[in-house]
Amino acid sequence: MTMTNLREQAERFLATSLEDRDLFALPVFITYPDGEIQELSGQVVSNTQDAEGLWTGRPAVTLRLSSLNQVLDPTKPLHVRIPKTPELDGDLEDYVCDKPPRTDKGLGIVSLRLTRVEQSDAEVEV
Amino acid sequence: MTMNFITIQEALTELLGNGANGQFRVCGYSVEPESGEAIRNENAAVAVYFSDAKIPKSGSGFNGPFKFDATYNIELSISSSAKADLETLNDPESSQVDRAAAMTSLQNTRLLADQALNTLIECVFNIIFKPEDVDLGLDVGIARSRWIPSITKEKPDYAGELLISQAVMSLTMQITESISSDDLEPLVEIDLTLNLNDEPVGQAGIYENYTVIDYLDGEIDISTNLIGIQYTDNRNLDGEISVEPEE
Repeated sequence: MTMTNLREQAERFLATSLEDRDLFALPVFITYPDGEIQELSGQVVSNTQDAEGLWTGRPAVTLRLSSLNQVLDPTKPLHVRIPKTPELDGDLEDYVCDKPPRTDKGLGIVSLRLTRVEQSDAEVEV
Repeated sequence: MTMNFITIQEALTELLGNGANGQFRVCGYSVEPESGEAIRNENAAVAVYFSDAKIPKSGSGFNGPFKFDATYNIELSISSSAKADLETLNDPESSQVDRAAAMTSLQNTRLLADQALNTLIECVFNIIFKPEDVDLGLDVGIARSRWIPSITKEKPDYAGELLISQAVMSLTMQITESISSDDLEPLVEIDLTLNLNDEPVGQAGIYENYTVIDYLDGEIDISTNLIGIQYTDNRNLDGEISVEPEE
């Protein structure tokens, strides 16, 4: 019988705790810088806490690192689509992650803090 | 009479409001920061408030007029989002190459926020320095030598899913204030009643009633009333005299 260490077991457990759509996970669609689109499952929150514990109201998604098709480049933005409402088949809303993702290799997760994105042909601001 | 520094703040607010032309809105001083959604695009907020004044004693008379340099802060706030070719990114028919091109052309939020703030600064600067508005729409001489000695950008900060960028423009000008006591309430009223006749028993006494009014500008009014009073002699059991005036 092969024994696995606790971290390895915890990482495997992310399939349930982070990616199980019957629990808390919601669909997340990522467009990588090279144009590849990947559908994932992850935790989606619309209110995040900053380092001081204040609610910033900034949406974020947390994903299982080992589920990503590509290694994330912190210098390049990602296009992310998440449901507007906490429903599995809800309408999707567009965001970008244009700040470096917060990666925790110890836990095997990555957190993407999202910023609203609008169609570039929209009216010039101000 | 409203002091000139207040009149100028109102004139500045009106001037910016009239010149905004739908590009921003002028609001009053706000203690709480506005939400990102409230200051999007044409709702960018411009707040004007009196900041400080240096009043050199040597430049003014003791009772005015007071000449000084006043500083107003004009606070500019606008929120921004990123921009991308979403039609291509969300089109199921688009190829990976098309989407890669769309990702390359994605406009960073910080860059757009900085550009939006620059545009807002340009708008406000042009309104304030319009040659025809040299007096801010006021009578000549109330606000003189308007100048913007500094424009300071704050570090952009996220509010929810939007990025808020802010700048503060300092606006200085020379103001002359004159103090008028015409419509001022008296600050202090002292009723000094002097009994000129210290022997009231059975005598006709004369009270002189002084009213002293000290106005803000240091001017003092003293009014006097002479009152003739007939006193009667009333002594209580302790031998003290109580006085009951009879007119």
